[in-house]
Amino acid sequence: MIARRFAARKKLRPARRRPRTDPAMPTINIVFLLLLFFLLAGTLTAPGESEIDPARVGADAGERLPRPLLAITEDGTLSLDGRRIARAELAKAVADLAAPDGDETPVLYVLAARDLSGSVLVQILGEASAAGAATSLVVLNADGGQASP
Amino acid sequence: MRRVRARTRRRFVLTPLVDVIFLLVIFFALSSRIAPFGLIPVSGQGRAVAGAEGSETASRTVAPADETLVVLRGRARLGAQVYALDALRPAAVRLREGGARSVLLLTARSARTEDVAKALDALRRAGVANVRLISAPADTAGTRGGAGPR
Repeated sequence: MIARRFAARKKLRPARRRPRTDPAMPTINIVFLLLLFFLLAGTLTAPGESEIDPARVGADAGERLPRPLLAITEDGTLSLDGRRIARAELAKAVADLAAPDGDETPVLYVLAARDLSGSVLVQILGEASAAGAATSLVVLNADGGQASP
Repeated sequence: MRRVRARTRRRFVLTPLVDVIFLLVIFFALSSRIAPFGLIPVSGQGRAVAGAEGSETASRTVAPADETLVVLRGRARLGAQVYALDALRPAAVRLREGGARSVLLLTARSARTEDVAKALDALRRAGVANVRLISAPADTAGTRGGAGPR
């Protein structure tokens, strides 16, 4: 009986050595996760836009930085989608945003510095409205992402 | 006679892939902004309408509204009452319940964008549908309608 078992054991193949996984794999996994996080949670910004600190209110959060985006710095400098424009060019730039068929009113998103003069903001919004765009003010949620009731 | 080549098993090289992914991560980390943004509609049907009183493009005549809200730095004046902007919403609710359908939001010279945004947000949350946004001309600020923006 024992001899038979021994003979059967002898027929077994030797265990195959599994190829070792690359030691860099955990690192790659983490980097992939980081990549996914930035792809899903981040919004691409032009260099000037990331320096603007927008107004903080209890607005509903969850919006990504929309386009076309008119960024207004504290000193009133304008840039449309990262391209600096003069105040006098605003009306033409807004008119260019309109669809060729002209059916839909273009929406201009305004990212203004929180310390920008309110009068300047209202004047710029008025000029954009007069040029034919609906405007929307981009703000930051003061509650850190929690939508206030 | 055909010679049978020994099949050499190529090893999958990960290094270029990892390099590209690292570059992508660095690009997205530097160029993206992760922030809880919100939007306040400022012009359009049934929303606040911006008008730049005193600017070349806007009309100089302002249609009357049920109430005038003067936005100052950190405060807002509604009639004779002055409210902190964080406490404006209950007052705006009372305003709407009192029958006010349209509000003229006048920005004083001292008001900043944050003050305007807070006032707009409070009115929007209180359900005031028709808000018109104007700024007083620099030379006549403080004299319009008895509401003296400072």
